[in-house]
Amino acid sequence: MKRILLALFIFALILPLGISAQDDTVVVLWPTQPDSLFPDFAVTATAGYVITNVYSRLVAPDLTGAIVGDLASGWEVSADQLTWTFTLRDNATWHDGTPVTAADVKFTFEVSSDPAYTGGSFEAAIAGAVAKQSGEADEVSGVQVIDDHTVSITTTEPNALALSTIAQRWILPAHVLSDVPVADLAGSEQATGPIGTGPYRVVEWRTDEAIILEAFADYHGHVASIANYIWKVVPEISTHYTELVTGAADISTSIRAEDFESIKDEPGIATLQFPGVNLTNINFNTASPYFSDVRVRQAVAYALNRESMIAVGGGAGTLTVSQVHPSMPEFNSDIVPYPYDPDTAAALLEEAGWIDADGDGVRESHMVEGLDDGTPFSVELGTWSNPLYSLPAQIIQQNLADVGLGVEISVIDFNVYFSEYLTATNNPEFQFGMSGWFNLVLPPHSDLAFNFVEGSGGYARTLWANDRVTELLTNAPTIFDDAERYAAYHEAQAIVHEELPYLYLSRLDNLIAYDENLVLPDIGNLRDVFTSIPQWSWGG
Amino acid sequence: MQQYLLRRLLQMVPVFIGITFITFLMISLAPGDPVVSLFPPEVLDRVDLDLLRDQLGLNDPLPTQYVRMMGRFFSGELVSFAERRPAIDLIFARLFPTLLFSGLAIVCALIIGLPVAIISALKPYSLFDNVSTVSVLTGLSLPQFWIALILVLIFSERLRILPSSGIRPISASSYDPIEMFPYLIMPTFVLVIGLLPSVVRYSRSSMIDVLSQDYVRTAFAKGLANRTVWVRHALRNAILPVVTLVGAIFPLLLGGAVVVETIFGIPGIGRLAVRSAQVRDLPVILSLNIFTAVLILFSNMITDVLYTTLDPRIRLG
Amino acid sequence: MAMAEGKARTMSAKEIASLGESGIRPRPSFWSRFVRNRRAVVGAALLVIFVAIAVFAPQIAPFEAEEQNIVNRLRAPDSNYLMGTDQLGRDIFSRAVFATQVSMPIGVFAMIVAVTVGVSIGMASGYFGGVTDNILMRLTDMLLAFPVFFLLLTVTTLFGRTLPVLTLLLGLTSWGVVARVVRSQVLAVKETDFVEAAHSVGASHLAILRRHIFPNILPIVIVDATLRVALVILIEGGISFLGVGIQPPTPSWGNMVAEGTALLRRAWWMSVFPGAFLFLCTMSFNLMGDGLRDALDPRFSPN
Repeated sequence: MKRILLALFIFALILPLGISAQDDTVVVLWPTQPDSLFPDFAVTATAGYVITNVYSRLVAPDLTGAIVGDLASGWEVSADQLTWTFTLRDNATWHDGTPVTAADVKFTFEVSSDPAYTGGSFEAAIAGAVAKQSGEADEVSGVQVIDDHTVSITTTEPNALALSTIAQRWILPAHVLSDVPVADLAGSEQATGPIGTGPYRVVEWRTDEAIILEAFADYHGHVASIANYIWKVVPEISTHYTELVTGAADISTSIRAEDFESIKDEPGIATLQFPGVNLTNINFNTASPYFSDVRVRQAVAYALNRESMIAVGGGAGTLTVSQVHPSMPEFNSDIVPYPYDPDTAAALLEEAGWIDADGDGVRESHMVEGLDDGTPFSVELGTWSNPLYSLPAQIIQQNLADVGLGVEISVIDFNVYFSEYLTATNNPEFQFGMSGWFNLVLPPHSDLAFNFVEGSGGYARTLWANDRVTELLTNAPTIFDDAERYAAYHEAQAIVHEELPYLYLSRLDNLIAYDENLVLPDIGNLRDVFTSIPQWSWGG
Repeated sequence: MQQYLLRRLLQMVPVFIGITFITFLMISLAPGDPVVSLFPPEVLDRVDLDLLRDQLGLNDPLPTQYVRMMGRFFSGELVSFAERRPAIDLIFARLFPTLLFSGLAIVCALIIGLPVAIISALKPYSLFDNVSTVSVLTGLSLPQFWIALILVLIFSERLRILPSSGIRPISASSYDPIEMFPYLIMPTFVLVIGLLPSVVRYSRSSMIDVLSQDYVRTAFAKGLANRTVWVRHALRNAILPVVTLVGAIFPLLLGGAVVVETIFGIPGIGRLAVRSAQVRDLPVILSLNIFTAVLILFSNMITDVLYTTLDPRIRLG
Repeated sequence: MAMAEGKARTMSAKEIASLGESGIRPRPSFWSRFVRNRRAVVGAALLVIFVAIAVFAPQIAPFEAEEQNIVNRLRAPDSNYLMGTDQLGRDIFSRAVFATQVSMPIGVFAMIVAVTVGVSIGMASGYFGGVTDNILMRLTDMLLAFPVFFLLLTVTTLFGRTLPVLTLLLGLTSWGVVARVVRSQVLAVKETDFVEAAHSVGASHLAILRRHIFPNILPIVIVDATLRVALVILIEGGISFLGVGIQPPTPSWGNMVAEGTALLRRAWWMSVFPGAFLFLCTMSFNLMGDGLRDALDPRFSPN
């Protein structure tokens, strides 16, 4: 009892609360905690934002997107474009003081090719990787240790994207993990208290509360200016606002769009807004009799008022025509978005045989392949339970009703949406769905190939395939001339925009608010604040 | 009594198996697929999902899976699909905040609720009764998340006297009651508001009922000291429904107060429960269910035993 | 005076037994008691208003529930939009009025299902005891531990997310607490003299349950029933966010408050007004419940 009274008393004394910004600490707000800090097994996008500061790669993109050395001080490629030889820095060490050697690199690639491995980073393009995965070989022949500080990686065929693929691979500590059976790696201590080589090291992970990191003094690159970096988990994004204005935290990327205008006016708060890595889109089942005609899909594009969807989302987005991030040279900036034009939509629908003969406001089919004449246009639009999608879905419903297309919305549990609803192969009733895309990495090759190469993972979502697009995307990695390769991507995007297996709605802005005394470096082409935490500093 | 307890404990075994098996069937047969949530949609084509289902044992017959999961649970080796660590560790890591808030909430709700109910019952339709009825019902008519956010806007953002998120200062390295105190106020308040309507309404009604019972009236009429009547007759009987209510609600509170945990950033079991349901993390869902089931079974057994103490006429058979 | 009246009605076991099947509770004054109770009258009046709102929603609401007007989005309340507009420029007042058609039936019918099941199980369990009690209560334990989300997900996937399906589901998953509370009351009541007396004169189980046990547990049942209406309405709002509730754009009070809370800082009216509807509705049921309870309990009379 005495203790409680004392607490009350002290509590009364320290009003108002709030931890004032300390010069040596930055508190970053996140709605979720990472699922794992083992790069190969981390699934959530948020995990990437911790991993990026805890681990290193052989080579990595700088803020402009150009690939520069990270653990490697230099590299050369053989005349046949197959073998890449990397020279490692001699000053790079793990957080426990052990030097980084070529054995760590070799170990990293051995793990992801092991038959018992269950992560997502297997790379078939490395020579010998498939042989090891299938059990035909004991090691990956394409990764060779030449000496302690030299390692070579050989690909199965010349690949213009080899370096940017290697730039996605986080190097693992062989001296810590080599005794752990591969099947147990995911649950090893490395997942929660990792030993890395990055600018920050993990001091403590408090479950669902915070991750405490501190600058690694022996980092091989620029040692971070701010000594302590605290990743604070605040699941409710409405309170991110409160945490920032009360000084309990220093930066958040999760400000609600509707609140962004008012947080700009808060004293002591600075803001940043730029196109982020999330976008929203519609995917059509192009085998469905309702959407197999490209004119119907185009009519949908003309019928939708996408600007108003962006407005309803708080204005935090831009119209987009492609899943490629607009800052990338691969992005086709010549594509003109379909304008909001219900008249053109109506004309296209008439042409395609959708006519409202009985005047009830809903069009019926006339000579539409796969449907009896007089079938009303009535389809289900699936999406999942997130206002980011369910609100625009209601505008889509309204816009399509305006041109005589009947739509019922079905809001579905996230997991069910992806496992059972979204694809025409799982769900014969699938007509069209509204969901989103997240650019896991900005170089767009894997994103485009996933969705538009016939037979790859995303094919089932649209059942759309185009020989020219498949050819362009399959050949792109073999084109070493950058401009020529970009042109291939541009052409593929133009065809997709014309054929509309996917209709892109908007690319969502990153809305960042932070303490105005925090000095952030130029965010560069990659437009990603959180890879640059080591370069942050306290000014003012 | 010992025999009764022994029998109850023995009964728990089939009930426990029943609960967990039905739960297991339910979550296995429910729409959705655990492996889909194990990778970002963007890399799904790079992994062999069926191989993974095989590795996780999801392709085996359901009874086999059930027996295996239960076996692993009891040897502490039931590993989360998503986090790949023992599910029981994930639960224990979140146990303290959950216990703390459940306990605080129940205690405060009873300390506030019972006196309010008794005063209301003594003078039904008095000003006090009317005001208390309307106030406790307000708490029931507004969702917890709404009340919680309003509190944050007022006390954290405007007045700046209470922290908006967390269970202790971010710089704290331990759980110090003094440091934690400001962090406990709003979450506890919201939980209490959620519990008060039931506690007050139930107790008020049964108090009114008991006070009008013949034996209580007789006792009053006989001129027994007020205090004796109260303790021996009125309160003991009126509290039966409240004991039942608390016995039924407490295990559910321990199962996690998702809304309060989410809005106030409390690292409790509720957030784990929601997340594991969303990603179909079967081992965690099942472990949480075992945790809740055991709590419910024991809580209801204790409640039943309490009945006989509170009302000696009640016989347990 | 309550005391005098109570005393006058005190009956010996013999007297009760002699009443036999005719019951011990004279009810001539039910209506007069109910009408004299101001709380009850206010509650009933409110309830009538809500039923009227549900029935005449199309006449009362100035706009269609789903009518979008994006130019006028997030308008504060004014003479045109009495309770403001939401993100899609829909009229909050009209949506709240139409939501009455969804939330009231869900709340009331799910409550009826829950209370009927809960009371039956609780009474049977407490009265018969022994094996019956064990089986029924362990069943209740199972229900309390059941992962309701997965049940909702499976059943709504199979049978659709219609009002009757959701109502039935919400009712059938929320009788656990009622059953336990009713059982505890029955355990106490069945040991009283008048029940023993009824047994001794050979009254049937059903008769004893109906005439002697049920009236005694009624007060607590009414309390639970009136609270449950509001609880179910709120739960519906919560589950619509998990993708298992009423589908958008159909409004319910629960999903309107939930949607509005996200924009509390920007548009308070989006959550406050639907919340007020829900509050008044909850109040009406509880006030009614109090009146009903007192009118049905002859021993009790308010000062």
